[in-house]
Amino acid sequence: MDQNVLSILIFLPVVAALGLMLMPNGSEKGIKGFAMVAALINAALALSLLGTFDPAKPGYQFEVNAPWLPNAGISYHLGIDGISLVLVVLTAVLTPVALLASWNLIKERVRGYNAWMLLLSAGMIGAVCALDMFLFYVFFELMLVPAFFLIGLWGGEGRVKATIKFVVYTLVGSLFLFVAILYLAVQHQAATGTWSFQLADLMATPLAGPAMVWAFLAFAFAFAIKSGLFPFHTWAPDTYVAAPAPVTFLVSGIMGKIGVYAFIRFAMPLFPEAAKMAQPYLMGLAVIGLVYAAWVALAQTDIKRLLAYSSISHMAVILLGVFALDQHAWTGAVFMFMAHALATGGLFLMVGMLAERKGTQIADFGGIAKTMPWMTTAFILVGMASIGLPGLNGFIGEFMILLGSYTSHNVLGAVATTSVVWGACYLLWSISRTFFGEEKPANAKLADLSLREALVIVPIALVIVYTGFVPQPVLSRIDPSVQSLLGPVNAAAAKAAASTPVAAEGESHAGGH
Amino acid sequence: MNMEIHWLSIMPIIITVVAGLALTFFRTPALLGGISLSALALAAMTAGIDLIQSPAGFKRVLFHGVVTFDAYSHFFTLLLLGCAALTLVAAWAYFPREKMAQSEVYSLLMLSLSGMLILPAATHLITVFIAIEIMSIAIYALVGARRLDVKGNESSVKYFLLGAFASGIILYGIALTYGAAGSAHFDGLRAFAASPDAAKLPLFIAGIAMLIIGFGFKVAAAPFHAWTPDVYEGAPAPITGFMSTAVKAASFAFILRTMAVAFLPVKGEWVEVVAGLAVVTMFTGNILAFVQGNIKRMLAYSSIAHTGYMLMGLTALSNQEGAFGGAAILYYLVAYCLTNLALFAVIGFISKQGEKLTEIEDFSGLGAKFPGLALVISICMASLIGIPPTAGFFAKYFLFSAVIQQGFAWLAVLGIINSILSVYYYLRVIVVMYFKEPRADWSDTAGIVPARIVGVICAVMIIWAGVGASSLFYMVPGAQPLMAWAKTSIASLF
Repeated sequence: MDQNVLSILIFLPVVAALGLMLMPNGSEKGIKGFAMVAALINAALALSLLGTFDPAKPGYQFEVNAPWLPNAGISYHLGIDGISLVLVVLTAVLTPVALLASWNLIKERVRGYNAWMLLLSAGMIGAVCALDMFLFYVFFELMLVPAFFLIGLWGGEGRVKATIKFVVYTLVGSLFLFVAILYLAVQHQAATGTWSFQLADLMATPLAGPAMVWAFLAFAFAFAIKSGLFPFHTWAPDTYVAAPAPVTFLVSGIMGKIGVYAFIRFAMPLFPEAAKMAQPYLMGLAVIGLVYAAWVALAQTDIKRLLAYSSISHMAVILLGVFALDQHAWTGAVFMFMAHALATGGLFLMVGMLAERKGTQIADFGGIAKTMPWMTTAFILVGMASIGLPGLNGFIGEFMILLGSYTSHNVLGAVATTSVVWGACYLLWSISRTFFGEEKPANAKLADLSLREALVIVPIALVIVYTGFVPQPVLSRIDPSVQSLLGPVNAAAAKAAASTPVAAEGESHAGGH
Repeated sequence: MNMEIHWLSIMPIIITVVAGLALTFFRTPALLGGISLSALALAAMTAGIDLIQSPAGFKRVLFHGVVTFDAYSHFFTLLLLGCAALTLVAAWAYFPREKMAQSEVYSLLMLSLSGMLILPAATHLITVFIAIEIMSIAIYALVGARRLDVKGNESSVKYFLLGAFASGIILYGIALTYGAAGSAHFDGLRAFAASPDAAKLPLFIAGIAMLIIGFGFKVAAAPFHAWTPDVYEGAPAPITGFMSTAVKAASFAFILRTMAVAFLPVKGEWVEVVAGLAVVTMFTGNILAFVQGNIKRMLAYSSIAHTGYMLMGLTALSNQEGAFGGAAILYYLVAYCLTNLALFAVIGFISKQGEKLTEIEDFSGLGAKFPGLALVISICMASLIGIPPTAGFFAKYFLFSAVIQQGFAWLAVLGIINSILSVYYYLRVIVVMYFKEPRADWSDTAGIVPARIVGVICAVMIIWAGVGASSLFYMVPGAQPLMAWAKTSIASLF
């Protein structure tokens, strides 16, 4: 069981999706139920990992390593550490939530929708578990296909333009990644005589000089697009707005994080020196991004678009933590994977519920706190988590990230701290305009949360509060993994800086361009 | 020189020639299709038996060395027969619908195929030339096979004129290299090329240059590609499919053998020219494909772009152990043939009689109306873009890693930039099919079943050639066994 648990997590949704294809088109309830059961089984399985995962053990657990294309050195190598554990559990647990949120929202082509959702979930779990660069690339690309159809077929206004933008942008990034991966494998082959795409093998044959910088830039480019780092974020607002709320929930909540995760897992450990050289530039971009997106959010009149920019701003905070190359910041960033997914995701879902009733223009609302007290309470709670109110889980991650960033670059860290203020501004202001103030007569009959909607929101809110007060169980699983990943990165970077100060200086210049 | 004739090796060629001639005596469509397909099956069987019962690394030099049968020639024999068979199935209902002169069309197809089957085995420049002509002349006629179609006639004439011009250049190239080396036989050419003064002899280098130009025309490499969009658009869809797959594969077959066997010692003289040609070809194809509204023209430019990718593989050609540029081209060809055969088979039918609906916009809403066909087209497009886990993705992987391995990382980066350019126009087809309201009326799709069969076979193979594993079915591709087979085939050249 331990051996196959990750494979089951990846392929159970695939098999279920294929099963859906065989079901007759008419039985919509059956289709939704079938998909939901599959997603719930997967979620239960993922939760059981929390129990069986040993936080004290360093390295990867539940590993499988089987040859796939042995002549080319490509293997089916899966395994998770504390960092991937967070994402695996999040994906598996949020998938049924997203399906539940879609229950009444999706009325057309229900079968296809549910199947694509399951495949999206499978692709994301696969990408997070892969320890072979080639396998990772396959899953990284495969995630795109379901997202493409989900947004293009079930999205709202501007969906076609948004899908094309989304797919073209992310494919552009990943194709450069592809060349860099091939280059690494070829270098490994030249050095050792054997082909391999295993992460561990590739890390054992480090690149040097301009080749390393170029390869790092190719990796960083792909992951920056995926995670929405400024100025590569422009696909994100359009996509988040056009996609149906549950899809936005998964795409912004998890898929973006896989870009950040890939920085941690691949880009930094493979090219520590280049990462160190690029650090000030990347941190600078993250800080620009977090301030810029927050300001743009302030100016929005559409609440879904406002949330899209808020999500980009918070992603920039996470990225800042990753680029800080600091123990606290990394742990905080991984913790914030979860916090951001739950908070931003939860808000997107609630905006989706509001949209079903009324639309997404802030001006159309006002004073609905009276008619929708539960919705208001939930929105404020999740919103507070999103802006990092102490006691809720958003605070923990953000605090650790800001602390770590300040240690590694005090000016940028200080500027980044303002993000908390900006976040409070746009969110509180939008909450006050949407939920409070003068009640519009047209809004008097809006229904409060239904039972199904409450079932979507309550678990999210519970986890937000619980991990806000008791973050230790999560942190204790993340921390050792961060240590074992980041330690070598900083050591290698320091060693390189000490041995060739002149070359490092010259190349850091090259790395910036 | 071995004067004993090994009949089994030349059997596929004989079978196609005999079938081609015999087909002119029949008129019934079903009979014509049946005979041709049986002939192809028989030819494939003889080639398969010959391949299996021959020892590893066998080389059968026949007829004073003008042809050599080995694992390489058999790889292409089977690939070409496969292309022809799928084309015939796709055309089963198409030819009658378009009221084409059936026995002539079948006969010409088989005869052109017989020329193609000689090409991969040709080891003498005159054999190469004759085989090219056998292949091409039949194809010129096939392009204009819809006799009442003005566009078809025009493109046939255009193709013929430019093709004749290219043949002239190839002939000049043969004359010059023969003049320099004193032999048109590949062994003689190689021996001469290996001599120290070969690279310094302008006559010899000029000859190779002319051959490359002529070859460039045959595979539609820029700047010798101008005929491609018009001819692809004007030809009947299944014939376009045949041209973009079998003709291209056969042409690459002799280019590879010529470059790898005869001219490898002077690789330093031509490799950069070919790299440049690859770059120009990729950019020309992709940039022009961008602006096409007609799907056949778009695929014509896309085929130019794919020629560019495969030419990249030529720069990684080497007889070193472990280098697999040549094998990557073979894999690429298989992946590419599968997509184009499926696409043109399907296009032939959804475009209705007379091929009226060939604008990309005409495919609007196809996803809702014909989900299966739209899925097939989507899989083909994904493979052409190179999205995993399709055959096209693995093809690009093998190709690019071979190119990087030979120290041409910049070329691989340019290849990737081109892949990016291509994303948009391939994606557009999928977007139109799924995300737009139906515009055209596809009510008249009678006889679409054979085209569907071809589409499904190809789509399954595209996925299977990507993720398939050898352990399940021995004979069915899968990336690993297919690449292993391609490697053995290429190894038999050296």
